[in-house]
Amino acid sequence: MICQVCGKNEATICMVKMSNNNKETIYICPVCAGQMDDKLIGSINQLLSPMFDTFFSNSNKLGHDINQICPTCGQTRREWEESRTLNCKDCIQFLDSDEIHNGKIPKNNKEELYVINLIKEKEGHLKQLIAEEKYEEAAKIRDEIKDLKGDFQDDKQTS
Amino acid sequence: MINKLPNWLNAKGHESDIVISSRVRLARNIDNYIFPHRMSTEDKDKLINSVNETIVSSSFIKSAGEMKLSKMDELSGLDREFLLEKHLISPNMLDQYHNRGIVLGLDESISILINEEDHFRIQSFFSGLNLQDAHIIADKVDDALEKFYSYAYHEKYGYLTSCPTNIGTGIRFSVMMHLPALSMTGGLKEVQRSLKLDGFVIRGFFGEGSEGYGSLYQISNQFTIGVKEEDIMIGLEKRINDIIIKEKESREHLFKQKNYEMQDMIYRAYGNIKYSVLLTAKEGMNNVSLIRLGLERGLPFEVAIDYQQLNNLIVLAQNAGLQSYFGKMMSTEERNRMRPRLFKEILKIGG
Ligand SMILES: [Zn+2]
Ligand SMILES: [Zn+2]
Repeated sequence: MICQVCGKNEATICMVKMSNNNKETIYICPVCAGQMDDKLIGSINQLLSPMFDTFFSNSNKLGHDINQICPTCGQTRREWEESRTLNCKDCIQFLDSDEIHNGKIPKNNKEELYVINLIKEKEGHLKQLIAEEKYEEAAKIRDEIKDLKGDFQDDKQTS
Repeated sequence: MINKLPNWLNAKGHESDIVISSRVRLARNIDNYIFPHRMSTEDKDKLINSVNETIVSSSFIKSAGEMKLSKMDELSGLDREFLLEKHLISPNMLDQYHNRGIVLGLDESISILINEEDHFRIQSFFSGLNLQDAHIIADKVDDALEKFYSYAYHEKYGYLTSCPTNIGTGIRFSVMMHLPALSMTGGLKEVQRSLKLDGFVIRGFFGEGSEGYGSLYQISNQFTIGVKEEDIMIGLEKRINDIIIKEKESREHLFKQKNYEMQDMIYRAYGNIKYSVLLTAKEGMNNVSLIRLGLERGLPFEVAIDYQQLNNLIVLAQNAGLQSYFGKMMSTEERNRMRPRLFKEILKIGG
């Protein structure tokens, strides 16, 4: 279980909060517990009640789950609401906006990137084959590279 | 290379008496890396090294031109500060320069910041009012980079950036203007108000809080999503032309109402540069501003002064600019003592 205070660390401590005869439980990590110790002594209710309200609500004003986590970078919606920063491309899931982009679109020419990487890979293979004196196979690979590079240049000239 | 003056100071563009420079900045991120402020230092270095390979590849040079990469860690503190004074890097990049890089074109009109707030910040500078060419060049560099990197892009929200305020086009157009009459008459308040209504902002020379510094202001678009790049540009251009008219009207008015006071201020500014023994950067900039105003009004000076000299002083008058000019590190006191000499040398006063 994830700590309900920072939303980052593993929760290993269970805390019980008493207020007006209500008993509520939260799960927190040792780091957050350490920061709370001082406050716990004394007027726990007074100091922590307002915070507790938000701990127990797992959704924000728009009804989103604040513990929702970005699978790519690990940022939670709770952290996003404070930072208002995208830590990776997938944090965009947290943004709530009616705006729609109207402008340049990247070609994100994955095909071209793929070809570049393929050429690199084959060139590595070619070196290896030459080192191993497998000249017949090497000649075949060399032709393949030549073809790939040729296609690539043709594409460039037409685009 | 870092020591020379950028091309955008040459005062050869449109409206160069009032508009110092036009700039376009594109914010871009790569989709298979975490964004810079959470990125590991290994990944940051990996990206910098890969850009270094990219920019020397023939297809990049063919489309974007020859450029050179510097790692911020390997530059001296003075070089880094000079980059800031030339508006090539942000105060944040000066502060936290580790594992960051800058790619500079030969005349410094093109630059790419690596691992600043976003993986890439592509910048293009032109002298005078010329957002169009600045945009074309930045766009070209963007196209060239795009051949090597797959950008973080969202079907609905467009280019993805660290800060949601840059999402969409990721574009910021920015124009640096000299507005002495509007600052003196208080007309800037009205300008600021109407710009804000249309989604544009006006800031001082060094950003927020540096208003009034040599009467230099930067005007830029605030919003980046929902409007096409060209339309943002046309909107800003229109505002800039309006401001030019207003500034000229204010100058007319000032010289009509207070002709002698204005001449007195301008010639005292000249005298200040000619005879002062100690000069701070701000004082120097304010004197340059008044001389520039006099030049535009056709007031005669004992030496021939042109806008390019005055533009060069905008950069050289600053702390790192001054030290780079004289080629040595100096204390604040030394700098203030050397600054009058710099001004006189550049303007060829009494030499
Ligand atoms: Zn915690
Ligand atoms: Zn994320």
